[in-house]
Amino acid sequence: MIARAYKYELIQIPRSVDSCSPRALMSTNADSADLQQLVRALFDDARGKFDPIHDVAAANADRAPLEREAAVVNLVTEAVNAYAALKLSYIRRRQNQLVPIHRLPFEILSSVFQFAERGIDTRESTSQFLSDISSVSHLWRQIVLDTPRLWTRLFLLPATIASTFLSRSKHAPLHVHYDSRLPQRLDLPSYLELVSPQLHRWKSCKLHGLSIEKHGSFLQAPAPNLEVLELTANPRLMPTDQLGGFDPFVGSTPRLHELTLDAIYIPFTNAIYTGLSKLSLSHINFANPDSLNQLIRVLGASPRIEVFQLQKLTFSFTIAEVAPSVSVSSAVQLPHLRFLKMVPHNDSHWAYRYILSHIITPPSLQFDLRTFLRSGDDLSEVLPPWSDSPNLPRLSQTQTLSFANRPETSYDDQALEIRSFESGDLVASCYLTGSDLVQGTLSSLGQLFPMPFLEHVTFTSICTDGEPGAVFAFANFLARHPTIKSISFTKCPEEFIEVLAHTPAQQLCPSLTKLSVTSCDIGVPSLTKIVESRAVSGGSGRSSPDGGATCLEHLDVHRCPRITRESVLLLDKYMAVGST
Amino acid sequence: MVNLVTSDNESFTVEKAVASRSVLIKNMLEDVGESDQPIPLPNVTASVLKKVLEYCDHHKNEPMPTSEDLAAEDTRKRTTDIGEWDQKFIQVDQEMLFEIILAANYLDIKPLLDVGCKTVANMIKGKTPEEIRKLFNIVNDFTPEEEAQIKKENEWAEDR
Repeated sequence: MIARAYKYELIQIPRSVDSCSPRALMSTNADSADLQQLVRALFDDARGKFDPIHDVAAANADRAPLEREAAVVNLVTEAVNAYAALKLSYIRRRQNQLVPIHRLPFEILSSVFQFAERGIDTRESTSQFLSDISSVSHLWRQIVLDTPRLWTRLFLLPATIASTFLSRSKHAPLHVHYDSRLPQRLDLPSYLELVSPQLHRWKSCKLHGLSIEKHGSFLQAPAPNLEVLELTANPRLMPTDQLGGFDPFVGSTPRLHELTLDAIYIPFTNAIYTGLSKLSLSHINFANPDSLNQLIRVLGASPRIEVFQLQKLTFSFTIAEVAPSVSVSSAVQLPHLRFLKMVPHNDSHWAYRYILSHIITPPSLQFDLRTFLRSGDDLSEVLPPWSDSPNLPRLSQTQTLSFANRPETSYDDQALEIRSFESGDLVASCYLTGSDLVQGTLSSLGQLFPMPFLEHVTFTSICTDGEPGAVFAFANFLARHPTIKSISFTKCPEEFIEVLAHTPAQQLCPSLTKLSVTSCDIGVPSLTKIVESRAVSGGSGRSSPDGGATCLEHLDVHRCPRITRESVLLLDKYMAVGST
Repeated sequence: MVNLVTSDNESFTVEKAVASRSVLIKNMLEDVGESDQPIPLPNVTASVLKKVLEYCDHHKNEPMPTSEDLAAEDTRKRTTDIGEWDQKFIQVDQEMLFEIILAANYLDIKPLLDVGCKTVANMIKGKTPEEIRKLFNIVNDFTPEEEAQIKKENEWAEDR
């Protein structure tokens, strides 16, 4: 429980006034209750300060006494004003003690300020915020200055201000953040020179624009309190493991649990990789064939890891060169992993597949894959077949799958986003770029990666131009997932949708009960064919005319330019139809 | 059931699960064991306890913050976001808001204390010193001399 009395102390004001100043005069009378007495006393005192008149002989005999008197009056006025200001300040502080917010103890107000400071959106606003709240009243100023945690975020600060923050933060853990992409008042070496003597206090360190050669020497002492480390160099200068490693903090970071290295190589044998909850590696080239097994051993040394991200790593060796390692003969269990992100470099899909087949993730994992697929490639380039390993168990539990073509910057490429859900939770997200994506992904999904519980599928902006095999792959995908109950098409080609029409030769999606078509260029004949083939006349039965399959019960048609309202009304006799 | 008696001598009979959201009461119950004795709360009035119990009742089924959660103060203070129900709950006048905070502090109900502190934090964010003073009825208690010095000291903030 918090219980602490307020302390009202005057702000430290320099007392560099001479003996004739209003403050000096006032100090002799400050306790007088009667203003008249006070003023008289001040006059007497002030006169006294001017006697004796040493230069009277040299002065003009008539003017000198008057000038003296005027000086005395001025001095007394100033003294009274100074006294009044102090007295008013005192009264106002007493008034402030009585306002409701000041019933909150010091520690709670300090906590309020910390919440507010952490909630500030932009780093630039922090110093303004601290300036503002420290200018509200004596009490607020005292709390702000006596809360070291408010002064621990050393972002975007000129040298003098950084020094102020360092001294006011006292012994509190520091957050050392420098981003060379933002306008800075201090270059990185000067910043590091200022903060590195406090390395033992660093709690988080995020340095963007680091050069090991230029700045590595500042990070050569133990960091016993460091919990979060993010080091980013220039990604175009991708380091390689052949050039030897960087050994920051002399390998002593006992509390480190979040590590992000972008274009910075630290050998996997370094103790920095132990006991992590988050590991993110980007833009590093590995030439040592043992590096993959070393990375898997690193994961083994962090069994509590929750977030693991690999982006744009390259491996300049082949799978054949990877020596079988005794210590990674069985897959590493990562029971706490909740987010796995992989962004493979074009030629390194095999290495990611190798890593995936050597880890076992929990069902709660969310998997994010972003990669480029060459023409003819499919998801099996990156993902090990689900039947072979239990490493991504939840993907096979997928109930809802969405495919969407996304605008892509590259002129020749497509982009396809596939998202899978189970019980409403996002299980996986794949963002693929390349060509022949529809064919490549649909043909592998269901074959190498069966989803026996798939019920709902949505297709958005699917473009099959230049993919002659796409419709065939789509039909095959549907054939492998007879559990599908609803399909939604938005901005999809007619040839894609009309696959759903039952024919004696092909009866896809026997469980389909709901179909939604939005903004598609489908004609009335195609839609009628689908509806008639999948419905019982009159809409009363559950089985389709062909027997066995469930019939379509609901059709939604929205904003399809070739489907008129009249044609929708004709379809209404078969099933419930919604349209706009 | 647990019987709580406020400073203005009003009794509240509540479920043990509700009362135990307060670490103070939970510890008292554990110390005393099974007993019908009322628990006096001399620092809380009836109107405030009623509000606090409303909060405790709504959150009675949630896990209690662990010592790890409480120790991770930096993480806890990283956001001023408040849940939807809590936001509506804490829409009270300033007097009541501060009383709830004091009661949460006394009764040791950390999540409620955080909701209160976040609410006050959100009230002061983005405001000038004068706006803050007006909001909380605070008067400027600096002398002109002190104000000039603070302004000079705070020049660093404008020199961003």
